[in-house]
Amino acid sequence: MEITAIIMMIIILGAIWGGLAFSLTLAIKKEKLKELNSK
Amino acid sequence: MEKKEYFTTRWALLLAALGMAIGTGNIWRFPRIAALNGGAAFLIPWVIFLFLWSIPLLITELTIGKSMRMGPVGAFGKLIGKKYTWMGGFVGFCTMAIMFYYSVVMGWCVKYFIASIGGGLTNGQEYWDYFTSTQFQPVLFHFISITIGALIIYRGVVKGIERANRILIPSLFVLILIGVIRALTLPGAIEGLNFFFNPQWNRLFDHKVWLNALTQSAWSTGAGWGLLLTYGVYLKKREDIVLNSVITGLGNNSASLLIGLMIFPAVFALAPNPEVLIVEKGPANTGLAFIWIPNLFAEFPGGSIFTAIFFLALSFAALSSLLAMIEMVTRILMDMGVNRKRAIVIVWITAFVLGIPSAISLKFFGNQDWAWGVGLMVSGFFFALAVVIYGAKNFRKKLINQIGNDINVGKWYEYLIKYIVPLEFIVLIIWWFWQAIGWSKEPDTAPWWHPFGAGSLGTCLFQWAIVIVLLIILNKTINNRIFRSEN
Repeated sequence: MEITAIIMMIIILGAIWGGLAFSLTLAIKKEKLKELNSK
Repeated sequence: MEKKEYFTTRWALLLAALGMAIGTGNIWRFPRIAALNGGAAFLIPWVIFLFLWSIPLLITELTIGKSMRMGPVGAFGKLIGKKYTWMGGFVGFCTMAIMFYYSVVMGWCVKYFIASIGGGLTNGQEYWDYFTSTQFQPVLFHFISITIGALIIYRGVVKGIERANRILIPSLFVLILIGVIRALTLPGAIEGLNFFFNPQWNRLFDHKVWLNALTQSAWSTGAGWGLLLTYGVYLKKREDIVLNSVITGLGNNSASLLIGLMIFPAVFALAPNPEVLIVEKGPANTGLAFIWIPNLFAEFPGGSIFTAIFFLALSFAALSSLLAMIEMVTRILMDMGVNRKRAIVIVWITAFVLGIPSAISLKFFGNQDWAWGVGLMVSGFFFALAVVIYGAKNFRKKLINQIGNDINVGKWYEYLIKYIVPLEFIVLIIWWFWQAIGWSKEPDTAPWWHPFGAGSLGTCLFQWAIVIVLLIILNKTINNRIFRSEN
């Protein structure tokens, strides 16, 4: 695979999938916090 | 009085929202548009517009739904005043008109899935010609699709929408992942990845690439359709708005990228002329999915299983989006005082009857796809306009940034919704109309002003004008039905 394509793949997938993973992790943490607070 | 329903958990809402956003356009439109517009060079503006159009509008929709507790028609009237109810009516009508032919599309997917299991799908073109020439079959599968959707919605939010999406969305991702793994392990698959991710940098200076990226982002995420607004009605009082909207947008684009990782390697590994084939529009812009994929996948051992997986994934994506559309129209009727069961019967019969012309005529299908697809941009603009009329600052502080949010939005939201989204709308609408005038100069095409031309500017303006004039005339009657019922 060409080097430019590899770099672009990392940037694009990193931005979208990384963003999604970060947002989901944040949502899981907040849900756990809400659960703890409600106990 | 019907019992109010809410999504039981945040994850149930997110699955439903992802189901709404991820549709057939992610599977057959995204790869084609990305290929036509310079691969990775297209992906850059596509990511930018996720944040400049889709996410601000998704936040707006979820906020309005959660705060007003009504479908788009009533929500517009309640938010900015009864004289603007017709604007919500346009949003609702636009999506309802799409629902009529979207059920037809789901019917095609289901039919192709069944055919691929039976092993009768080896020549895409022949099969498509045979299938569409029967007329009876597209109508039958449209009926099956709208009936499945209506039966699920009949069961309500928790037992219907929530349960269905709990199965559909994880299954859809599993199916796509299987497809990605199979495609990436084909000899020559790397060439597809090179094509997908190798940027043609000069294309970044081409305005068409940016406009196509904005259009894809607007259509694909479901922003401005009134669907996330409808799901917002069933949000618990202390449920988050902003993070859920961001996850919906990112989740939709993640699915598109996964599909790209399946389609590009598969086409480049199997097709003799992949660069020509991947941009093939075909009938109703579905050439890649319904003509070429069956041909290509038939060429390698176990290909029929891969074809079946592809069309099952398409059917699941179509159904999860169709559910949101049926629920939106049902919600509008419920706001007018009709109970859920009666409302769903009305929607089911109406959608079946009004979808028949699209099922039997691809020309009619194309006309509706054009008129209401572009109409969605007007819907998106109406959402931005509603926030401006309400007051962007008030909207952000009072309605978005409520207790229960995981993250709040800053002043940037006001700038985006007040200036950037309307500017994007103006540029897009001018560009699409300009293109339509250009298409009308091609041979055997209706003139640009023709009110019934398949893809003419005139047909857009004519159909929108009829709907808007009727909605303005009926504005008072609609208000009476909705707000009397609410009282």
